[in-house]
Amino acid sequence: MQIEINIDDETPLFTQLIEQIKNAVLSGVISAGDPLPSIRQLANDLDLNNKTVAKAYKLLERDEVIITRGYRGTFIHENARKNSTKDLNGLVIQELTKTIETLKASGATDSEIRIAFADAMKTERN
Amino acid sequence: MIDTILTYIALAGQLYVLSYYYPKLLADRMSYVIDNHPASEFPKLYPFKNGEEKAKEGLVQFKFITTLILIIGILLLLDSIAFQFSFGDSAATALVAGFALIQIAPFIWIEISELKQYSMMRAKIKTSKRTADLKPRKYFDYASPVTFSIAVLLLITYLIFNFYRNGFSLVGDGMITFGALLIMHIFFAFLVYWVMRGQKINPHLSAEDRDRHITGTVKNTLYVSIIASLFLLVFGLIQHYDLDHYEAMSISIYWQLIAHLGIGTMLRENKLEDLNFDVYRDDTAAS
Repeated sequence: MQIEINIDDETPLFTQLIEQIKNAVLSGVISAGDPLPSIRQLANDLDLNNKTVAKAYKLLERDEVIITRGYRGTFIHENARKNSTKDLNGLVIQELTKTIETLKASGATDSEIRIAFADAMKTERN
Repeated sequence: MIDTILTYIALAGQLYVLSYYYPKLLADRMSYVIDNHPASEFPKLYPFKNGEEKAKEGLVQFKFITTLILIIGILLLLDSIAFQFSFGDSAATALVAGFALIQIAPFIWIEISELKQYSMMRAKIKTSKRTADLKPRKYFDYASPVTFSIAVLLLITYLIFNFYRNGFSLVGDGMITFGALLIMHIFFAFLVYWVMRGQKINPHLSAEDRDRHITGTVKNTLYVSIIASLFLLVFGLIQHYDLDHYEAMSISIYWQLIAHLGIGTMLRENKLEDLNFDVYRDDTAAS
């Protein structure tokens, strides 16, 4: 199965990769247990930085679409089909939009929200 | 006397294989590609300025050089027959081995030109779309386990034989051969890794053609490894039993086998009728 990315597209490259792999799972082209190419192979084939592919794989692993089994390689997760429909990024945008609307309704300005968001992220990281 | 005649026959075979048969096959192949895939229809095939003319010039130069080498070789063979290798066994061996290196030089030149062409193709890519196969490439998808086992077994056999001949010493000529063999196999490992996992050498190659190219390279390295181990075993036996007058013949046969299994395998695995030339068409004209 071939995947295709567009380097001029506004969508980040790692997001395009994630979408392509999820689409391949949803369309049944690849199924649970199927092996995936190594990060280096995919990065070289697409002429991308290894880190871009690694980031896509990391997020797919977090979403349980793929699973890494040490030196044996990366495989499609057994619940990949179900998990590919989850849109965590969409959920984040939806929740943040809701929160921003509530904050604006309370009278908070854009810069106050931005600074508070950055502070909250910093606190969460620490 | 018989060994001298056998050496002449082997040298004649070497001239035919390395300076006539394979150069002709390659030249015919290049002619076919240039004649049937003009720059007007397949612009991506000629990334250089006036690429089609340069390709034609390159073909003429290749034919001229290989013909010149063939003529020199025939003259050397006739001279050897006339003087019956009067310069001695070791000189005959050096002549056969040295001339083989001259004979393979045009093939190396073609290979380097091809790499330059691919590098230029990469530099000229304008498309923003990039594709990749979502399938891992594994070594044994391309190599037969039987051929691989034979290559490993022969290599181990040779190494044991080499150590035995050297009285299990870690110094001397045996270690030089061992080092050369080790470097050759490390180079093969890098080459196979590069074609399997590295960047596409030819950026326009279709997935099927890339698989064919990888298969050719993998088989090539295995066959060359087998031939090298076999040759070194035979060469070791020749030296062990003081059969120096067969050295030149064995080297000549070695080079002919390398040509058959090296160049021959690449040509067999990448048949012109199987290759997809549509990838070299202009993007707007591609189907």
